[in-house]
Amino acid sequence: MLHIWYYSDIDHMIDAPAYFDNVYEDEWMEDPFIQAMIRDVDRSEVISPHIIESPVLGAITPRELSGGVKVLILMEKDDSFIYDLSNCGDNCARWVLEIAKGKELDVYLQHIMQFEEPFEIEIANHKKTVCTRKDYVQELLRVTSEMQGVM
Amino acid sequence: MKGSYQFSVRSKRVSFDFLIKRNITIIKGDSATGKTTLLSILYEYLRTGRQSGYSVTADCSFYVYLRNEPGRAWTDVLFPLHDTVIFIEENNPFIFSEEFAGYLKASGNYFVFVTRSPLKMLPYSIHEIYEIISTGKRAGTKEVCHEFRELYHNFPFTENGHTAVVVTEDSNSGFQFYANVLKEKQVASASGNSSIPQEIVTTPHNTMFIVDGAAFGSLVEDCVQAAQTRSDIRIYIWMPESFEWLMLHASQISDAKTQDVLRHPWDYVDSAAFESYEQYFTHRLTEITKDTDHPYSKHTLHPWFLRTDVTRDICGHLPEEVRNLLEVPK
Repeated sequence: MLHIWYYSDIDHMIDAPAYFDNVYEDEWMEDPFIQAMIRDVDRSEVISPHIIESPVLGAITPRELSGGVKVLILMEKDDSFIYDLSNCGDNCARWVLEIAKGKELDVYLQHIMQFEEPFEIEIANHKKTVCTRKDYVQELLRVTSEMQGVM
Repeated sequence: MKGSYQFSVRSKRVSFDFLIKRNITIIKGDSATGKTTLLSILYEYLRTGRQSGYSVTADCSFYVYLRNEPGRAWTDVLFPLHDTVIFIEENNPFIFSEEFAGYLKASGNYFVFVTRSPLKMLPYSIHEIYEIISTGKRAGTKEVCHEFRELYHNFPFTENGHTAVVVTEDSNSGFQFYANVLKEKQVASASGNSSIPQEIVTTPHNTMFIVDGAAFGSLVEDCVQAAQTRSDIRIYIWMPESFEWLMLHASQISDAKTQDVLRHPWDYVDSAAFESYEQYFTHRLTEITKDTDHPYSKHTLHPWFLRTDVTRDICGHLPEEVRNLLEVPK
């Protein structure tokens, strides 16, 4: 299940793309799930653990993957940290939900990412589970309001 | 710093062409659109020039801040820069700090941020939030061209209809004006912009929100997202630059220089003196009316501005969609 810490003080990874460059393992690139994420988000094809074919950049290494897909891979493969989901664009959202199907995934978030239903997400600040876009957005806005002392 | 600056950034495989014209520009959007590639090319060009293998043309100085370096705080790096367009990569948390906001407002530089997280400390425009889009390959080359596309527009919701309730961000002059013009409507003030997303969630009526777009950038996404959850009612959000910007369009108020300002404000708004266009337009309106019998004050609107001929003049400059929604007489 996905647990979102929205604007919380929770300790989280600040620069996940740089961390990825230092820790990624060749075997990760051989995982069909990782390859599917790279294909969908970066429109790129893993040729071998060291070579990825990008339609724009040509032959690249895993270090040149997008910041968003690097964070997705870390969420799937490395549970050492809570990652910042604001590194990921909306085109990563479905993969975040996929990853969270297989584990308890805690993430940090600083913007309203667009998740498409169906989903089950816990807004961890309030320990409240939401299952619709309306409840999800309104719960995040409630956190913001509380921070501002509006409510 | 004032003016607009054209950038042309090229490698053998990608190119980016864009114009920077305000003190704060945001780049966000989907992953893998080229944000990091753009900043990497700019950074490498800054480091070694043509020897980087890249080409960058820009009619201004620029700087790229990718990440902090050991022993050098961001203050050490950025404070010495003047009249410079400064690009800052995401994952630099100092950009959310009060100290940085204070520095930015006083520095006079232009800033381009790669971030999806709203910069709540900073007044930036809804019109300077972009995504990078690919426009295809240049004929006969391998080069994929990219440009910036504005993400938010004045009318996120354009369905036909009317609205009985109007909520203004402004609690002073702007509110007084709209309350006077829209006597048939229920006009309320949100007393500031930060409560508007929550007001969108809770309003029980079809409602139009009028906010100052020049300083609403950090809230626009929350508002659009909130409005999309309200399928039970109609929400409209009108985001003119500011109330004073609207007033400056009126022929009874404007002069030739003001008309020129409105056509290309970036050539007039000095970012060291004004943190946003909103501040500049207030300054301009105050200046051109101060020696008249109807000096403008942001706090209390002079009765002259509520005269029928003046309100008709001002309302003549409302976009047609807004006039129709609010049923303002032509």
